Amino acid sequence: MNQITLEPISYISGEVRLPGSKSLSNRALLLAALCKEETVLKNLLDSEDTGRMLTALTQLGISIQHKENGDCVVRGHGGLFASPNDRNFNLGNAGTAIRPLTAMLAMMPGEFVIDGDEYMRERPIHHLIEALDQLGVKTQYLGKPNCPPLQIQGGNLRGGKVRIRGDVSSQYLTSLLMSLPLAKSDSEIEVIGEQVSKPYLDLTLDIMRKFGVDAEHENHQKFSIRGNQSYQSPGEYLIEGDASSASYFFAAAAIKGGTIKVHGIGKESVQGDFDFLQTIEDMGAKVHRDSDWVEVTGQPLVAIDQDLNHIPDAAMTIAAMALFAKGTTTIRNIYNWRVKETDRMHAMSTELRKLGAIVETGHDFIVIEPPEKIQPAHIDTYGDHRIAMAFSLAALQDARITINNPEVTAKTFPTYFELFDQVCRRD
Amino acid sequence: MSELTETQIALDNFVTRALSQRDLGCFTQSHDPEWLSPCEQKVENGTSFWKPQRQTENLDFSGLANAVESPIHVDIQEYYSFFWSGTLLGKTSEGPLSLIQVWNTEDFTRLLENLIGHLFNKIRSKSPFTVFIANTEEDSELFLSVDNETGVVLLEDPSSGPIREVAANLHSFLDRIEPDTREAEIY
Repeated sequence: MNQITLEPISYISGEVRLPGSKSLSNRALLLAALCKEETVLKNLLDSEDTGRMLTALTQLGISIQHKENGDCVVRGHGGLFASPNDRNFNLGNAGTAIRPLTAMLAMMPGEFVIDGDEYMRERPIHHLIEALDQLGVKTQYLGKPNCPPLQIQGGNLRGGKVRIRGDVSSQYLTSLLMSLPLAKSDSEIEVIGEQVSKPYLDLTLDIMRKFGVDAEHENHQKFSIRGNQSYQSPGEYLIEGDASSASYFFAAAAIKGGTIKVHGIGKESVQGDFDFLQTIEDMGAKVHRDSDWVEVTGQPLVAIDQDLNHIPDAAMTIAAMALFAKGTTTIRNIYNWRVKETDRMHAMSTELRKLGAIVETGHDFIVIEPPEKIQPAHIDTYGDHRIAMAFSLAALQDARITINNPEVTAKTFPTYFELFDQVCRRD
Repeated sequence: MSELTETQIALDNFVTRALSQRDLGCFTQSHDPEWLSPCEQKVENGTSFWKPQRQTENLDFSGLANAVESPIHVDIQEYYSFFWSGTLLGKTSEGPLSLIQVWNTEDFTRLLENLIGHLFNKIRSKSPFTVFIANTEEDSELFLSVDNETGVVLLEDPSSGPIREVAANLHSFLDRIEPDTREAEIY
């Protein structure tokens, strides 16, 4: 079993740069390319996915400049792209590029071939193609049915009604939402079954709104999109990092009394987990929110009694912070801790007790009375990346904390322990 | 018929569990007259009703083995040459996944071509050869593979390679997958 042992940490201070989210980076690039005016994209992620999108947009005649300060300046022609000479697009394994570009190419007159690499060729894209088919777009799979490569006959999409399942990739719905405002007629998307990706769709609707296009929805089940709209550049657009990833750094500063500045997240954030900052302010931390960074300075923490149903992930960070707060912390209305694949209620209470806390749990609440002194412990992570990250905070007193299987952070935040170590000082 | 191996038993058990959760006792998807499979039971109104069917002859991995310059791990051969089947949806404590299967011989040829592309990436990055066996959730590009030398199951990123080991071998991995009752499509 892999383990990482965190020696007691005496001081927290530093700056962390959260990389821009991959899916927001490619959404922002595409929308900026559809504007007439220039857009400066800040904190664009440098990754294979964005590289593929940049190449495709250049192929579509869009001017893109990279500034020394990391900003990316995009200038489109206003509206849909002109048909390029080379109509074959290879998007590698960039899922966040192939899906929205497929929907966008379906709007443009001409015949296009969209392909990916050997990994993408094993990944079905048929849910999106079937939705486009309902809107009258003719496509043909050139290899294995349901997977790229595919040929698309664009230009026949005038808007209309489409039904899409709620439990398929939110990227498909996002792709439709971003392209349909450019159709000649109005459109309506009906979601069949429960919509499982509401936060992601809210991010899409927010970025569209910031680029001047509105789509209305009824509880994320029915979306109404006016046709004949055009995207307008907001001038500058910050591509935020993941707010829930930032919560551990903010918590560390709040606990230890140091200051941490996180770049790549700002006061305009619409991410649900941004509300975490309000809760730590209630616990006593000082928070400064600027346009593209947030700074937290710790103060002695006091316990809270709050309903954290709206930030279930960041609530786990609050539970770890309760170890350091004066008084007994109660976190309410978090039954969603139980419905995760790991029973987070059971996992959190078990691990908090190992550290010496007195913990009481109910169906949807947890009460945490901090120990006099945190006990050294081996923390089990239950295959849950958030448990690994939240309990790294336990090392902020005098105890040695060992995290079992820390590699669970690999999927969402592979550099977490490295970055955490950079802001820790040990005397 | 020869005795089943651990990988085949685990795959067979998974399919039995998945089918027991289906009202119709089989899977459905759009029928494509140009993409037929021995596992299709019947076609009605453009919908194909299918059930994984045992392959009767072993598929030939020798071409891939020549390209890799090493034998293909027996678990991988057993996994791909057991059923004619469509993609099988499942979930583990780490999230949803879809098991790649082989629909017909043409699908197998296509799979080998993609594996050759994957092999070139491995040669370029001087990494051990792996064979992908499953995709993770739809919005993610990560996939699951079997290390051709050791047989361990890995979570991999197409750009950067293996992230971590998820199981010591394919059969123990298959044993812990729960079937996912989503239909492939319901439009």
